[in-house]
Amino acid sequence: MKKQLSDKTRLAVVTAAALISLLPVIFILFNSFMSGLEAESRYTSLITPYSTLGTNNGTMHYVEMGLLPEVLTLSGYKETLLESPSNLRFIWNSIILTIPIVLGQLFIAPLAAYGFERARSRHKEKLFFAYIITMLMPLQAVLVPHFIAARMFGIDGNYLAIILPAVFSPFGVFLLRQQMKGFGMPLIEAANTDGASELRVFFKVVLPNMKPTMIALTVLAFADAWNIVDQAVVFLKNQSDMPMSVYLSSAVTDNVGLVFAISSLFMIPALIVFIYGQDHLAEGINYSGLK
Amino acid sequence: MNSKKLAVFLAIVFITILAVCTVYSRYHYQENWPLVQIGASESFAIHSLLNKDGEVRPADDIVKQKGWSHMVDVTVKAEDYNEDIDMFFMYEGDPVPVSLADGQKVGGEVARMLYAGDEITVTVGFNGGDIPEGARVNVLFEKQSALSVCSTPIDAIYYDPLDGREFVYLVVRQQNAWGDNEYALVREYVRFNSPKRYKGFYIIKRLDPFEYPIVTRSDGFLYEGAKVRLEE
Repeated sequence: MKKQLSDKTRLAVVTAAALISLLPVIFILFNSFMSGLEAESRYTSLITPYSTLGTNNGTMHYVEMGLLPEVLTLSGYKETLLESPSNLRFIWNSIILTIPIVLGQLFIAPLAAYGFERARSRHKEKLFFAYIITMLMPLQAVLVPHFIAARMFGIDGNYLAIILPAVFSPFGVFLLRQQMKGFGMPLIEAANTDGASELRVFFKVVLPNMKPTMIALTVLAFADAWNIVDQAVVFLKNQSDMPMSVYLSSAVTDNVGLVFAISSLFMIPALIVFIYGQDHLAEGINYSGLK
Repeated sequence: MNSKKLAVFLAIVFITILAVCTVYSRYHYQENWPLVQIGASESFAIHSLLNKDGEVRPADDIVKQKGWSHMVDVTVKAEDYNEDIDMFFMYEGDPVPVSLADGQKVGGEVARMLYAGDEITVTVGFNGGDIPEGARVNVLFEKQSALSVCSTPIDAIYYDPLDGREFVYLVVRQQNAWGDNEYALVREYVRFNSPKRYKGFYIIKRLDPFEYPIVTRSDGFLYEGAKVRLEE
């Protein structure tokens, strides 16, 4: 009885915590069905029929947060999808930035991790440490040398300035090498004895066994690239090249009426990738020894 | 359907919807925007003619630097305008003849202009020889000039509900994120130095129609920032 109560209490606490975590998402989703006029009246200082808390102080009134709209409408989605090509451009920009970064990491990270694990150099651990240490540095500090390098190569203002450093992110290498450490060496040696080259061993023996971690890396790399902000702000000069993650911050002030619909649409790809990797996310991270 | 297949299916649906909507919106999204006509520019001959008296003072440092020994301040007020004078159209450096009390005329120039509300204080510098301080002189502001102005129908002038100030909507060209041209409205407050009916039109004198096309007619509700289509 006591154990049951304890379980119920635990469940209630966990449910409450989950709901609190989900609250911003629920808030955005519900508000995305609000009309532009209602959203503007609630979240800007404009006085409209919806502004019930008007303070008679010029045109100012308090923000009137609300979970449920007065009138449910799809006008925000309609306007975002059919009448605001600029908003769609920013989503495409995010896609154009994210896909090469994720694919690049999925290509580079396993090879680099395998190389670090299999190399017979005395200094490989020091080299690995030097590589991994960059992961611990604040992003803003690393951006400066990245910016200088991008300018040297003439790619500042270009997506390559963001994609190239992100492709060589040490996180994926670290994640995959942790799993490779627990990988059966006899299996690799047996393959080598059978005459398989290192590349063949990697692609036919090692890689298929790293599937859960690769999928976990896909989800994490996607989330990281999809939400990219600092790099885009620093490297991209043209406003129309910005990804949606950057544009959203200005949409809050420029286009309050649409910001919830845009945010909801922006969440969908990340949700799809999560659905794709949900079975393997925890498993992959567990394999790698990260908990 | 397992979660992976579901995710792939959703991804395909999302990308397809995004692609279709992108193509559709780029070619059709402007159809619902108000159609506006912008004002045609006209060139008007502006004749600025004004006779004013003032008291002579020794030139201050600024006027002295311009090479003048004396100066006279005259104030041009709103009521100075009349049917013959469209507007006071002078700039610093414009030549102004100064008539002394004995009938003698000397050359001077507009040395400084200070704007305060509807008044302009114009300082005219001139070399008056031994003219005593406080002597009254007459200055003649006369200038003939062509100015591009925009005749705007009265209906195109809006009034701010907060303070009653008049404004017009200007069309500014901008590019959307795809690089397509768009036209948006900005509110421009205008001031009528000399409100004057001209064949049923107000003459707006501050705005250059070549640079700032003024909306003269529209078939929809206009507001600051509204996207519009231009009538061919």
